[in-house]
Amino acid sequence: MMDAVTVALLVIAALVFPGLLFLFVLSMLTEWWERKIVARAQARMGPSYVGPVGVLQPFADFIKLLSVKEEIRQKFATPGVAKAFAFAAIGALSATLLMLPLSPVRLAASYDIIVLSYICCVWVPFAVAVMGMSFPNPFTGAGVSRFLTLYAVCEPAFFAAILVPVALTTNVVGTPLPYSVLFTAQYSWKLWLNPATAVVMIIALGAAAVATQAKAMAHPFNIPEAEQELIAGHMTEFSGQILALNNLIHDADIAVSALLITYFFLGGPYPFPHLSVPGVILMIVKYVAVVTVVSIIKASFGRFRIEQGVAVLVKYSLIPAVIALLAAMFLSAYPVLAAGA
Amino acid sequence: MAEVIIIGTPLETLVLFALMGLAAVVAALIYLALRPKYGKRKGQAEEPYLSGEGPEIVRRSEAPSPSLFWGFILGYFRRLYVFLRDYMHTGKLSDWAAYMAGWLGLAGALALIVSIYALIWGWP
Repeated sequence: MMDAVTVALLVIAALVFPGLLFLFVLSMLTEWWERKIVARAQARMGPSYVGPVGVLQPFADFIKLLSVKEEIRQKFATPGVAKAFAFAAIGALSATLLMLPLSPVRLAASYDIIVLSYICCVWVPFAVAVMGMSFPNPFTGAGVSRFLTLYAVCEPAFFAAILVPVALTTNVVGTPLPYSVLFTAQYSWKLWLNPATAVVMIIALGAAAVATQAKAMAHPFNIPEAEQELIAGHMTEFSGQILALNNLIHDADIAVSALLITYFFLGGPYPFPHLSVPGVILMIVKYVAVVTVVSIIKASFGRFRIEQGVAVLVKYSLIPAVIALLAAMFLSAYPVLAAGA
Repeated sequence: MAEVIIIGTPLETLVLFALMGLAAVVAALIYLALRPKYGKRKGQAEEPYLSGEGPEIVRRSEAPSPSLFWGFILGYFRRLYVFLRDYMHTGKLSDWAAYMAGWLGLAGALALIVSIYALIWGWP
C-alpha cells in the first residue's frame, strides 16, 4: 500500500507536474508553436506581440475568453453539463501523464495500456461530444455526428498503432511488467536497433501520425468543425468560458497525443536519463518535431469530405496499424527474428 | 530521483480515477475563481445561432434515427445490403417462410441435440 508521502507526491504530480499546471503550460506553448508554423507556411507572421515572439498570445487568448468575454447562453443550452464534462476531460488528460516516465512519481501496472486507452480514448472524445450536444443546434448536431464518425475510426487506429511498441517491448525486448505504459516508454527506443522491429515501428508510426492528425481535427480532418460549411460544427454555440475550455481540451489532446508518440515511438529522452541536459534537449526536439509535422500537414491540405476522411483514415491509418500489430504479434511469437532489439 | 510505484492494475485504475477527479475539481475551482463576476444580462440573444434565421426554419434539431441508420448502412455497407436484399427479397412469401424455417429449424435441432446430450451425459 502507499504511505502518506507517496500519496502527497501523487497529488502534487497530478496538480503541478506533470499534471494540471504542466499540461496547461504545455498545451498553450504547443498551440503557439502550431500557430507559428502554420502562419509561416502561409506567409503570415502568426502570434507576434504578446510576450517574446508572441509566445504568450495563447495564454492571453485563454484568459480573455475565461475572465472577460461573455458566455452567450441560448435557451436550450445546458452549460453546466458541458463544463462538468470539460473538467472531466481536463482531469483525464492530466491523469494520463502520470503513467509516463515524465512524472517524478510513476504509476506502473501490468496491462495498464488498457487503462490508458480507456482514460485517453474514451473520456476525452465523449466529453467533447457531450459538450457539443449541450448546446443544441442543427450545425452542432451535424458537427457532433461527423466528430463521432471520425473518432470511431481514428481512436481505434491510434491505439492499435501504440499497441505495437507495447507488444514488442513486452515480448521482444522484455520488460519487468507486461504491456505496461511506463516500461514501454522506457524501453521502446531499443526497437529501432533491430531491422525487423524497426520496419514494424515505421509502419505503426505512420499510422499513429495520420490518426493524430485526425485526433487533432487539423486539416485535412477538420471535418467536424468545417468552417464556412457548418459555421463551426460542434463548436457553433460555444462562446466565452465554454469556448476557452474547449480550446484548452483541444490543445491538451494534441499535447498528450504528441507526448505518447514521442515516448512510444521515438523513445522520449532515452538512452539519456530525463534529468540530464542531453535527455531534456532530445525530448524537446522530438516533441517539437511531432508537433511541427502535424502543423505542416495542417497547412498543406484542404479539407476532406467526411466519407473521404474516413476512407483515408481506414486506408492510411487503421489498416497499416492492424498490419503492424499482426507483424508485432508474429515477432512476439518468434522473438529470435528480432534478436538484438 | 523518480519513484516507480508498481501496483495491481485495478488499484492503479482507482488511483488514476481519483487523481483525475482531483485534477477536474481543482480545474473547476480555478475556473470559478477566474470566471467573470457579472450576472446574466437581460435581452441577450437566446435563440440558437442559425445564420441569422430563427429556430422555426428547422423542425428538428437532430437527424432522425432511421435516416442515420440507413445513411450508415448505405454509405458503408452498400454491397452487403444489396447482396442481402437480392438474396432474400424475392417478393414471394414462401421464400421468406422457407428461409426463416431453415434457420429456426437449425436452431431447434441444435437445442434438441444439446438437450439430449445434457440429459444423457450431464451438463459439462
